[in-house]
Amino acid sequence: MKQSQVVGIIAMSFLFLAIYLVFSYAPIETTMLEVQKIFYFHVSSALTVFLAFGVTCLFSLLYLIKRKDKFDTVAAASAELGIVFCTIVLLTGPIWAKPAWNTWWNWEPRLTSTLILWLMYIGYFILRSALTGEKRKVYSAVLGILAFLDVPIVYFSVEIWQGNLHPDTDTKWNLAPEMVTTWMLTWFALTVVYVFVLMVRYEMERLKTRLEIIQYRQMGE
Amino acid sequence: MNKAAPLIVGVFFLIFFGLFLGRQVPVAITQDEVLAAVNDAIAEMDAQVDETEVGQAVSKSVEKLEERQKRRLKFLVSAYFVIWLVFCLYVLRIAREQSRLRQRLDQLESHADLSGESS
Repeated sequence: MKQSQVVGIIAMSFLFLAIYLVFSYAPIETTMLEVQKIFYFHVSSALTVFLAFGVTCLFSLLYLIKRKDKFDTVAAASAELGIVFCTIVLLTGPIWAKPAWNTWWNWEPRLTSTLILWLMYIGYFILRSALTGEKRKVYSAVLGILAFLDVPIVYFSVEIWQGNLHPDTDTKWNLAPEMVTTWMLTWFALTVVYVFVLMVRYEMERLKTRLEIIQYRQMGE
Repeated sequence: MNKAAPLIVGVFFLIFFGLFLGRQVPVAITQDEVLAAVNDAIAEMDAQVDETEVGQAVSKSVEKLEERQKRRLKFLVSAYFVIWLVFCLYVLRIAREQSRLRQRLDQLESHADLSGESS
């Protein structure tokens, strides 16, 4: 059994456990009632976004220092996953916002900075598709590092701009113990899912490189 | 990546989501049940109130509570549907791309073997 398959099975198991905890173990919150259950996947996805873009930043930096293709591959794969999780955050946010704030969207600091973060990484892929060769890897590595600067802004936006819709960064520790356990496990499950898909994406890129080498050899013959 | 993976997770999710919805205390109570409860309460209180008026007010409250619960559950279902849709579409895209690459690689490798044998 391949390493990625083992991680895949672990990811699935934790995802199952997270779903079970969200719907069968975590109590119903008294203010928002059933809608609060969106929190577990919404916030955990947001934290996975930070991890994914952090990995992109780290591997972009490594690429600029060492100039090894594998670093660029990991950076791009992680950015792609970051966009997927960020899309989940941006779509589930308004679904929560409507019953909580009576509006689908509000240009408050955290929502706006998260949208900017998503747009920056969309730009990262537009840049990658517009360039080729070494230029593509160097430029996207620089953007991968620069775009990460928005992550701490997203995280501390409520404190910086005194936004009053999203709770500040300490509020989550005031949850009931069962809710914290459920949230932590959901976060862990999504992190393992992220690691698993990243491994699959990396294997795919290696497969693509192998394919290109064979094609190149056959053209030579 | 197995194409069935998101389907398995989806089915598992639906089972637990269904169990959760099934376990929710239904706000929906029939008009007769409400009136009977109101009559009992008034009898216990031994107070002079209009039973019909109180019954109507309580029925209306229950109706409102039921509407609100339905609305909340609609948001919850929509959020988890969106999460699963995004996740499944992404996994399916990767799985399709991966099988396309493997097919192409097998084709090229078998082609390379054949040309190697013929030469």
